[in-house]
Amino acid sequence: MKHLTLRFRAVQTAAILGGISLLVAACGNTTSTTSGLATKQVLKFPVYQSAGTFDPGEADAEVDTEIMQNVFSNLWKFDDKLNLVPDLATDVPSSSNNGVSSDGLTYTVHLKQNVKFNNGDSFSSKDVLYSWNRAAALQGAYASNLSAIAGFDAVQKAAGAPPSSKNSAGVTSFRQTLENKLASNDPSLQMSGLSAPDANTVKITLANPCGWCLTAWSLQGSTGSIVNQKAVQTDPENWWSKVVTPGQEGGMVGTGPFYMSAYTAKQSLTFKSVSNWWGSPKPTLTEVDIAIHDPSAIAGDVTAWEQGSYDLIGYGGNSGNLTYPLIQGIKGNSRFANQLITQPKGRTTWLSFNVGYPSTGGPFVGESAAAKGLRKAFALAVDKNDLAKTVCHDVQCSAATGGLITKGLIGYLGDNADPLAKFDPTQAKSLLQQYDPTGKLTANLKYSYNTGGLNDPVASYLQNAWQTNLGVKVNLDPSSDASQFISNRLSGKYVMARDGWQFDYNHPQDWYDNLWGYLATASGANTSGFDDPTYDSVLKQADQQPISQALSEYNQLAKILSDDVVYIPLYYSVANFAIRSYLKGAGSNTQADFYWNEISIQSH
Amino acid sequence: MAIAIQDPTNIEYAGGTVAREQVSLLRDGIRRLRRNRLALAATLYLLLLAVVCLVSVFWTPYKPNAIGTCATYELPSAGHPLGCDDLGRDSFSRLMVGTQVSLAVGLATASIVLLVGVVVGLVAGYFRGPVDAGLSLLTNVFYGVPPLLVAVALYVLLGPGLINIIIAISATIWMDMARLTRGQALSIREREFIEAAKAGGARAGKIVFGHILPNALGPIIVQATFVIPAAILTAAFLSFLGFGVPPPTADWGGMANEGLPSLQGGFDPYILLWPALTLSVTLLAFNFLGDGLRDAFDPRQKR
Amino acid sequence: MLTRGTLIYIGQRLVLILFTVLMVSFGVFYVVHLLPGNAFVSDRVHGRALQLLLHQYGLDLPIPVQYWNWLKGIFLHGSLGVSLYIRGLPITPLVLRELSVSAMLGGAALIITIGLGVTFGVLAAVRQNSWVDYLLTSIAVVGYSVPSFVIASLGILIFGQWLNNVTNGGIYYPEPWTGTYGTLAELSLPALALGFYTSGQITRITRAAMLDVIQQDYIRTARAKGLVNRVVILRHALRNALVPVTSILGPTVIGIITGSVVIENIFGIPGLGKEFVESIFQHDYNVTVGVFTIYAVLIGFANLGVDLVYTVVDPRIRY
Repeated sequence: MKHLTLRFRAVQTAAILGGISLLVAACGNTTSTTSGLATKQVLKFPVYQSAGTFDPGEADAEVDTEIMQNVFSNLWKFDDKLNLVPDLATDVPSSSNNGVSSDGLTYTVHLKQNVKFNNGDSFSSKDVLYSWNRAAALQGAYASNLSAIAGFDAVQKAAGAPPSSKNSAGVTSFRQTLENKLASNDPSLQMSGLSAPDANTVKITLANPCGWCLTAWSLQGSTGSIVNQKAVQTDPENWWSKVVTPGQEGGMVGTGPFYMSAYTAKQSLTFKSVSNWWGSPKPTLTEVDIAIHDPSAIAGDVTAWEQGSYDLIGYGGNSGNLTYPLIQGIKGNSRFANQLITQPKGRTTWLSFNVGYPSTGGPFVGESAAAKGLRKAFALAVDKNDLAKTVCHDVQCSAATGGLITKGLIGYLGDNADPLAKFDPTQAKSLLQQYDPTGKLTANLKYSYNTGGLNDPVASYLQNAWQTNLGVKVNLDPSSDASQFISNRLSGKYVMARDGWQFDYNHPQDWYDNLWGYLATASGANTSGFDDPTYDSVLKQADQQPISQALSEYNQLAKILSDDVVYIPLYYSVANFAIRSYLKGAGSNTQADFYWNEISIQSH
Repeated sequence: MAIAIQDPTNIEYAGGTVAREQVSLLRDGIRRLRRNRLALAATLYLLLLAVVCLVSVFWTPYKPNAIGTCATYELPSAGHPLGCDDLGRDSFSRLMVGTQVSLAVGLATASIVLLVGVVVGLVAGYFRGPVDAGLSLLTNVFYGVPPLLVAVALYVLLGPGLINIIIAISATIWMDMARLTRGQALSIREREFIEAAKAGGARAGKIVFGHILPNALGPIIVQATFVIPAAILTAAFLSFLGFGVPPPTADWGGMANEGLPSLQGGFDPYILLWPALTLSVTLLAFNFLGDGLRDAFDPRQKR
Repeated sequence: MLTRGTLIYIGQRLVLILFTVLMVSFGVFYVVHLLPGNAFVSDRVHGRALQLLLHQYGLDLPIPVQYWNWLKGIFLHGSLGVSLYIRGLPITPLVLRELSVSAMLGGAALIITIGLGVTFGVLAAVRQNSWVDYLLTSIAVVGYSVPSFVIASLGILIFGQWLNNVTNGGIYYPEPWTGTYGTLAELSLPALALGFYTSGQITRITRAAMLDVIQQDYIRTARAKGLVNRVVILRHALRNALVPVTSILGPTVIGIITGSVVIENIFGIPGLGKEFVESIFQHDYNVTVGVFTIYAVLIGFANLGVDLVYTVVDPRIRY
């Protein structure tokens, strides 16, 4: 029966193709191929940040991962609707298909069999083991995605800190040592929970049940991505910055539909599509030209976009760069008004109170009734809806009324469900009166933030709101050095600070693990300093359960945070893209831009 | 023929002016300066600027740092004669406050350069020998260093702030003053009255500061007048690159920097234009004044 | 002209350059490493991952040790180290490429500045006190008073937008800069903006020198001999008037080098100046130090070159 079905399919396809070619012959259109495609399938767009690194074991910047997702594959990936679908694996393991054991500790993954790296090498289970062990040993920012696998901690310890570099060879020697050990299958760098029973199967054993692991392992351009050992070994330090030349070793080799064919540092990148790529949909674009520009050049780039030199603006994680006058300009131009695409993004901005760092904090530190009451007063004194309207013109953001997890993601509490999103100046004033009648505690407060984008008008709006609704003058503490600002914030050197998070993958763990509680404190990321035994125990439990059970527990955490008034919610980001109408398949979802192999250029 | 003496300073004869009344260099110079129309106009403009600066300390039409005073990118209108910037702050008020930064930088730098450059130059020129060699080496080293970049490096080291910018800029332009003063000291020290003073037992300090310095003052003052626009220009460059006074303080270079994207995007050239024009006119004024001073007090020029 | 005295002089100057460069590079090295914040810290990179990155690139070593490593890298491997922002990218090829772009821009600006400056100065001198003189002199004053970024912005306004609107897209200054070296059209405006500032001084000095020379006796002699005026001017007067111009050539070249920092940032030209500013904001220490060092070397050699040119132009000067 299988044969018959195949043959029938083949006949069907042939008939359709034949029909189309007849149609084309009848039309006689010489400038386009079948189905209206342009003859030149070259995509051109600017990005506004240099690539820091394209090594999936190290990458942490959005612009890098948005590019890498087209070159490297994971075992599973997110489709355009953010559903988890198989990529290099044949299916998504679950308890129903025996992919996940009943105790939730063992995952059995079957791999696709026709996969090739874009240098021609065949892909097999050993590549998964290599990539994931390597990522764990590199101890990069996202290595924790793999932390639930048994043996992860041992590998991190064995890889150890790199030797103190007495010479500039210190860097190379760390990575070179790692590669040597991995090449010789040194057992100290093999996670005990990873094994390959055969060339097409990978068995993953966890130390504890993990409800978020599949999602985390699927994060594109990150530690779950598959790299080619041979290519990495040719240059452990810089393999990712080298172009891929057919017939030569080395370069940015992955299993994705595109490979890097040219790279001029800080200036431009060129990617070409892999011919006869194993996956689907097959890429229609033949080439992608990316120009690296300064953020201030975006105004000129929009003009170039209107003239056709660029096909889209805002890709590569730069969708927030279109300033309001540029947006209005495009909308006001009848030729281009419908080519401005708006897309809510998974990024929330809020204000963090210094709750846990007494030495540098202010009156908000601690869990006393006074501290909490004052925090609440300041929170209720801000009209979040009005802020979104005034600062973002309702075009670049929307008010964060449903909790800190952005609308559209798992863990969103629901419109207007966040009690801290309320605007209640009367109660705010009475709280202030109650806990700081003399006004001494709230004198000389500072709101710290880094300049740029919406941060300045937001800061000014907040200052205004507290002045008007509370009668408290808060000084602004802007910092034009983002790096310095973040360092200070991470060490708790602030009273109130602008804070925010852009989600990596669609799972509440991404938020609650990284921002508050014992895990955040351990990794040095707990900006507010909030830690609470209840929070920690609920978090531990929730992390181990599948999301269907864990969601209510994560929502409990949200309630703990809002009851404790650890933050003031501000807004959810909205991205704006300028995409020419002849581009089909381009755009983005809440998390990332659409893959390049979905994009095609219509004739125009 | 009766001699009509109408102008007491000019004794006219049929053949032309024979002799003028003897006036001091200062009065002569001021008279010449007054006749230089450009220099006069420049002085008037600078006085106006000083007045605006003083006024801005106490009052501006709108609060210069208040975001949302008007709509962002608002074009010049009745309520806001110069329009508003990208954060909705009134440009005219910010321009006024910007004079404070520019004049402060200009005058403070000139003062520091006067102090450091003159002292170094006098000491090197008067004592000569190894002292001169050492100080000249120091000056040459500073010459070999890229000026704008040193200013940036010092800014980066000291952090943002008006005083640090002044220090950074002073460190890069004191050398010309030192060289000039040294040249003056070298030539003046050969004059007889210096020998007389030495013979009279005057100490070195008194000779240098009591005799040499007053005679060298002319070119020094002129040079100082040129230091002011150079300092303002360097400060504007620093601000324009992003190394200026920290936000939200208004200064012309920083305002120009903020206005560049809207100029390139073609929707609001004014945010950059006003500070750029004001800066240019101010620099022109200082240069005209300096030129006028130099021409007026240069005894070699007969006009 | 390569006398023993000149060679000794060159040797002394080279030593001075080396000394200055070492001092500058150490100073800058020290300065940037004292800054809080670094190229890695972000929302995602902190705690242990950050420490590891700092450790990998030797940023947790004492500063003198880091400087010593850097020096060793230069003298033993000819390498300026690796970038921190673009992890592991070798700096030397990057900086050399950007240097060539800046050199192209600077060279074009130098041609414009000398061409404009000398031409205006000669014309103004020859037509002294006429309207031509006043116009050109005023342009010169405007040149060295108005900051180059103002000229650049006005240029963008006029040639980029106004001209575009008026000719309906026919003629205009193209933005933005394409590729590494851009096109000739794209180079025109930045080079003009860069060169206009220093041309003002050259105009003034050329004019003054020409006026001086024209009144000299030997010019009267040449005219009396019956030589055509233009020949007189160009061959005799100009030659001698150029001497003071070379005296200002040094500051001119330095002015172009430092002015290019601002111009490159405005027009997005991928040269050394833009890299300098970017690397500071990105906390990419190694690149900042590398760029700074190259600038110090350039200026040292520019000064030396100008002083040597001086001997060619004015044979009376001898070292």
